[in-house]
Amino acid sequence: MKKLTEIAKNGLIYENPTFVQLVGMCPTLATTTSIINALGMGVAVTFVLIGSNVVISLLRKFISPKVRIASYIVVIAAFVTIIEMLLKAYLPAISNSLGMFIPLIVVNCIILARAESFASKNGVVESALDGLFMGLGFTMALAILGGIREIIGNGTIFNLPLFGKSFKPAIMFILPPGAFITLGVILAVKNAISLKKEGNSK
Amino acid sequence: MNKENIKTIAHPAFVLFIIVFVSVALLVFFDGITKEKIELINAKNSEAARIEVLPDAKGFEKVDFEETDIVKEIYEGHSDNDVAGYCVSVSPKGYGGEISMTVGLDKDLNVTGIKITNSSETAGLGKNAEKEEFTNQFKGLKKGGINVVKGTANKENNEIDALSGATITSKAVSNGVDEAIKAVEKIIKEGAAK
Repeated sequence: MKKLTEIAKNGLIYENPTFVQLVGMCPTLATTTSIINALGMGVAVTFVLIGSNVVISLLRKFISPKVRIASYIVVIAAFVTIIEMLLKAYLPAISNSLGMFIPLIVVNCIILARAESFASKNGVVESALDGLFMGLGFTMALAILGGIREIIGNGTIFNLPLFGKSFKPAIMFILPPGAFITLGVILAVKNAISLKKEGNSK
Repeated sequence: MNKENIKTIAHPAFVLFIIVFVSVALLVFFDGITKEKIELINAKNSEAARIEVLPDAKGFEKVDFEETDIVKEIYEGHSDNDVAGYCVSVSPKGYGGEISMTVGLDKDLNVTGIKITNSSETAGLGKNAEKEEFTNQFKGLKKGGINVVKGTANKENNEIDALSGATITSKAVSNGVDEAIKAVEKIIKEGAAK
């Protein structure tokens, strides 16, 4: 299945939502103060992305192109709210750990971007796969950011202390400026690598 | 207006109408089946928080009082026909918005425990206020105002240690406890006057 590997590579690397498309920056910067938060946000987004892609793909022939954006927003907001209510009522433990991320997902433009650029043009199975891999790509990017910020800013990883007591973490890294600095450095490194690759192939 | 126009304008509008209508209908439906369950779970959680901060009480009864910006709810805790103490829900303003917490007080207005049920403080800094190492400091503190100090706290002087890097959060929590004590003090006074 060539298509599957293509969708997977796009989601994880070539069109990575965070590092390449630079969509969904708001939750990216806000929730990556620790690796656990980053993974929580990533998992929540992945589930919603799969679901919303499937719904949009099913409705793609019905939704009139002129009102598509408005339609997507309504469908996605309703979908996320229903998930939130169901989680709260039937899976309160998961809701407690992911609860704070779910309302943030509604304003995450990854969902809208994938609806517009993929799910509205492709079949249900492909759209679900696209949602899965875009979500995993997002989760991976967030985990990298969250991991770096937690190590430098708090001296821990997964809440386990890494250094001795004498280590004074750079608190700034878990505050908003640290988010911008870390993301900027990662993007610079990534661009440097891909520029070098391009140069080599010429 | 010709027929073509009606089609290009009316059709998208109709589609959007259907989508919104179905979405709202689904929301209403799911709200209906989950609402009671969610309320039940919330009630259970706040009951659990009350038992945790006031372990001596066997039952709780809601007390009517004048709500303030910070003090939201007061429960009287009973143990065998006697007043065991009070549980107060307070929401002081922290660094990242309101901090929802429950404060347990005994009859003499000493703090029996506090629990932070919800907060949006900075993860890794203010969020650490939810941990027991911080909240246990409040046990046994008295009325008259809690002082927040840095690393030199002495329970005798009604002092707590601030979280490093999160002084605003620490002060907000201690302010919440102070307000809870004041509110219960007022209720007891009014009760005695009646």
